[in-house]
Amino acid sequence: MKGSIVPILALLLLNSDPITDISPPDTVHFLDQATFGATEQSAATLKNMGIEKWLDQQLNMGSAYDSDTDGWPTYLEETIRVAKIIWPADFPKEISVYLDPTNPDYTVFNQSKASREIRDVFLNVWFQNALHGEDQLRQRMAYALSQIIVVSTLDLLLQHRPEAIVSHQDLLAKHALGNYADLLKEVALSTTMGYYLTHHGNKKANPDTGTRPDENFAREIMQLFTIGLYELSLDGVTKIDSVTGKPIPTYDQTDIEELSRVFTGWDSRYNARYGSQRRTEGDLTRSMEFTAEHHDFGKKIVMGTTIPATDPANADGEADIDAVIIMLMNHPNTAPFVSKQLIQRLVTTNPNPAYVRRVAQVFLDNGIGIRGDLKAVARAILLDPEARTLGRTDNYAAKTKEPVLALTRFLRSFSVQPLNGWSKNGIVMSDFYRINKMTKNLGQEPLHAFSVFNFYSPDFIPSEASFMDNQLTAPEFEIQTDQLLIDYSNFIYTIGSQYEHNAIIQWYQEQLDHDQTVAEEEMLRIYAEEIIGDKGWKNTLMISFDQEMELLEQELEGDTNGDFSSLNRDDHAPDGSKAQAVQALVDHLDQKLTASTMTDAQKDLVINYLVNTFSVTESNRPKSARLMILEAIRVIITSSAYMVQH
Amino acid sequence: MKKTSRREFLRLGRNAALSLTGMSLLPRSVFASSSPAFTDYKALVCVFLNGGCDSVNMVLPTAPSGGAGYDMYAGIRGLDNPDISLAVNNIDLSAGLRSTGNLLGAGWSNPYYKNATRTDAYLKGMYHIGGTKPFGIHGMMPELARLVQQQQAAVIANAGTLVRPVTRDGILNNAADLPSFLFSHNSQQTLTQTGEAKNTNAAGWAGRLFDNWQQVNNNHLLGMNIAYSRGRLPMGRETTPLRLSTGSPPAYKNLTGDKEQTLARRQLYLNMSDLSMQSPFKDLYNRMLLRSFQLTDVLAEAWESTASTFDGLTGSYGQPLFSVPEQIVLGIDDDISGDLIRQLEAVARMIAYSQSQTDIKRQIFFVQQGGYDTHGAQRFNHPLLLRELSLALWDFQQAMTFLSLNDHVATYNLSDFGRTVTNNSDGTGHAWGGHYLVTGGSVNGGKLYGDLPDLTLGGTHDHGRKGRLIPQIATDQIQATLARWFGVDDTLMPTIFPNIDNFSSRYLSFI
Repeated sequence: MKGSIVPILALLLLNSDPITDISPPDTVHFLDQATFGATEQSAATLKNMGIEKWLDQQLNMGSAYDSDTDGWPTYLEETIRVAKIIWPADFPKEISVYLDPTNPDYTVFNQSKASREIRDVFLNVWFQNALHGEDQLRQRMAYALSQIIVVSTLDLLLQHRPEAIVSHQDLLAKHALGNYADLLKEVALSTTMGYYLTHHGNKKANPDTGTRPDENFAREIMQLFTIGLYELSLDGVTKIDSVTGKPIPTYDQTDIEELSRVFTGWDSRYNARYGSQRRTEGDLTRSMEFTAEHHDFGKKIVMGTTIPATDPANADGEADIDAVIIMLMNHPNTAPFVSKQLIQRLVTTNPNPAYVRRVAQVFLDNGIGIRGDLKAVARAILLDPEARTLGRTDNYAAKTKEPVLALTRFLRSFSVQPLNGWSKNGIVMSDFYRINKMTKNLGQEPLHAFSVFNFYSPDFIPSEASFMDNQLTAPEFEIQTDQLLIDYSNFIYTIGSQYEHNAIIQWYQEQLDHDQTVAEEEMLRIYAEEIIGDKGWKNTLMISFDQEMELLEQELEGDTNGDFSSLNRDDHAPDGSKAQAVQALVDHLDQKLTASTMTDAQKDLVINYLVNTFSVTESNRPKSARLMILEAIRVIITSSAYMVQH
Repeated sequence: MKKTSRREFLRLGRNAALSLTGMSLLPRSVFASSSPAFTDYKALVCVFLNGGCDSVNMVLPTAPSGGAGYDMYAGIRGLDNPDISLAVNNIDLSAGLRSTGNLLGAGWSNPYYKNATRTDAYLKGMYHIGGTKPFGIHGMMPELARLVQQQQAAVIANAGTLVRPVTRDGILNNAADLPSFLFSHNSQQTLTQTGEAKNTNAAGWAGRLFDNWQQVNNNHLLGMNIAYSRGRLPMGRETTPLRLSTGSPPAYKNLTGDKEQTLARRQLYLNMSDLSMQSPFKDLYNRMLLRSFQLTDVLAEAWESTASTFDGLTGSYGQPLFSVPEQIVLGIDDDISGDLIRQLEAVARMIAYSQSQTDIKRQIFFVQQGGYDTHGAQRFNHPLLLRELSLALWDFQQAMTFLSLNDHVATYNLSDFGRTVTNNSDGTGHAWGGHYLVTGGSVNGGKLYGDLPDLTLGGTHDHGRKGRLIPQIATDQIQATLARWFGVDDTLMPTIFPNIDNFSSRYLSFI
């Protein structure tokens, strides 16, 4: 299938052992795979520690889920904490009352209010973790898993109860470096999933009325979460039936009907009626509860495996589920199906089958006989020579940045922090990230996919001869519309021009009626208050081009006093100080943003434009310098050098 | 699967206007030179109902007896069990359709109005359509009923994905040649759109058509296929559709306009996108960037020049055409989404604009309405979806009539599949055969093509025992019929629909 590429790869990869030395250019590359985007600090740390120690630290770091009292908040804890600040009247109780069901005063978070705005609070927490969290690899794995085991706030009911997404995120983050079987179990009992895939309130078949159990979750737990539609080899390649010449289905409609009988008898807690879906009932922060009356205790046969009947007197609904999970974990498809998608989310959307096989092997057995060990799988994905070989332009190594990751990388690269001083509900806000209209501006928002089939199909192949001929999968291209490219470019431009440190300070200084002697922090606060204010439709973050401003000025005139006195409009000399400074700037951005993968042609275009075409306004040199930097950054961030990582 | 709201993607590598230095893309298709030269304009609009529409409740039996009759339907759907019933009452609401002034009265004057709730309205009744094959249109779709009465709309009964005709016996004996992955959403969505029911990797049939008709619009930048939502239908092997969003098209900030600096800056981006990167992913990204620049001007012009085209026209309540009526007007307790209305408005405006472009002779539009996967809460959700579908189709028809294009534009719908006749006490499951609509001036409307199926559980029309209808008509046949109207000749047809000669006739007679 991948024909002529194979001999070349055979030369490149003589050894398939994990690679544990890390070369400097690879630090950025590695961090783009294992975190939400490399930063200079994280690259320096990685270089010092070496890849093995860095990975060990990440894999063994522990998490918010180890203890209830360690001060490391879960998504739910943090969401409640912030919600209480914004809406004190709606959430008047102590956080612990919303979290601890044994508390006599236990109150279901967000049930009575059913506030859609909790989604904004969740996104804030999500971004805090992605942009600044220490446990980057765990969070990155959780984000990858959120695109396999999909739940979305686009759902008609869940949009009113977005704490459901918060619980789902906690579920994924908790098991992201744990065991896939545990993850599946908790998903099967999750109230959030029960709503999203409609098996909450599921009842066994009623011969009198002719109703049968809902099949939605039974289908998707197989099709999307474990084994997929057709049989795979360990390397993720679809098996072809030698007689029909077609793929071999993994299950049929009867299997689904049988499996649907397992997922009966479960419903949200605190529903007035079994299966009720009223907006202000049910508890989406906890697992479902079992009602034996509605469960089918009989024997089921799924894909030839017998799930034995159980005694209704024991009223145990989990026995069936446990048996199903064992069956699915033992299915030969699960290892390649899950492993390949994790590789796609982290490293390359088009992995060489040999790579998939190596990782799937680790999924099958982590080396000490355990199946489904996601820690081992993460390690195998990231240390595989396929992931650690730089400078490749072959088809196997590419990943187009999905918009959310393109954004987090961009923000982390420029020292993003929350912008404080704006208001919500009359409360002055700080430390809260809000990104305006993510789906419109970026085409993507965490846990807000179009359907349970995620933002894109893992098998998507663009309609382009070279892609179709070679069957190159590139899911992220599925959401790139002509208009989205424009929206994304505009969004980067907006952040760079209106939400950047130097831009804000320069804005303040141009407001002559403002007190110019105040501290910078106050200037930022006034900007937030006046420009963002209490209009709910702005962004509440700030990036910084400080490093670039300093670098440019240092190269230009040997100081960093901020006046850019040597920046001249008519300085077009190819070896002049402006040209040298611009060259240094572009080299720096190339290294910082693209792991030094810009071609000479790309760099020359940018340098040439900035030196010869960009018009310096000599009456305001600092502003020109800033705009010059913004131009360079925008064109690079929207270019294929940044958007496609090899 | 749950409610979706879709958009998206694609770029074109084909257009001669895009061949700049270093990026020439030689045509790979032998057929590129054999595009027909049409002198008239025609457009097809595919409205895809995402999730599997329960069309057994959209097009209903009215005659009481027999396996295909109302009593059978009502019995299975639980008419006697109000708690779980999904059976629409056999009450004719046609008296509520007005013959002068606005089609409908607002609020409690809506013919389907009951208790101001959509769940009650959902089951209240239907609009009876007479003739040799009588049927009913769901009560929440008064506009569609009127279109049928005006013979501007037809129904095609019990259609679905098929490789060739199959029988229940064949299925039970494992001897039937079935489409791939029946009952799976993404597979069936794809197969209705590829026109090749065992090949989920195939291009969409409209994409395949444009692959063969690449010069049909003389290389106009808009191409032939335009999608406002993501789907396989318009995706070819060599050609790709324009993928647009509704609303005004965005322009590149700081890169749009005539100032010298702006033009120079824009040239930087064009030059960057024009570089050959020697990596298929990077090259593709560059092509997409290049095209986005070239398209912004055309799209802006298309949008701005049609800003007042439909001013003064009204919808079924007298509201401005393509506006979204509020729940109080609709007489129900929730809002409709408006997304499909907006998509069809965008299509109408694009069609209007295209009339000013002499090169554009053929267009295929793809839009999508999500949320039809009603495993649960069907009584809550299905009424809103059907209501919006009806309003959107009506407004679109008014727009086409206004443009004097009613005979030149045909609209049809597809869905992943129909749903089970049995219910799971709150909704219905994935099934197969369903009923589909076609609207437009050229349609031989006012009637039903095919036959309402025998709903007997475990009967000859059932795939199993749960009421999964075996289709008697292939979605390929529906689309081949439309393709023929569109100008695809008999020689090309099997290329577009490879299985079409497996059926007793390629074409139906609804258009």
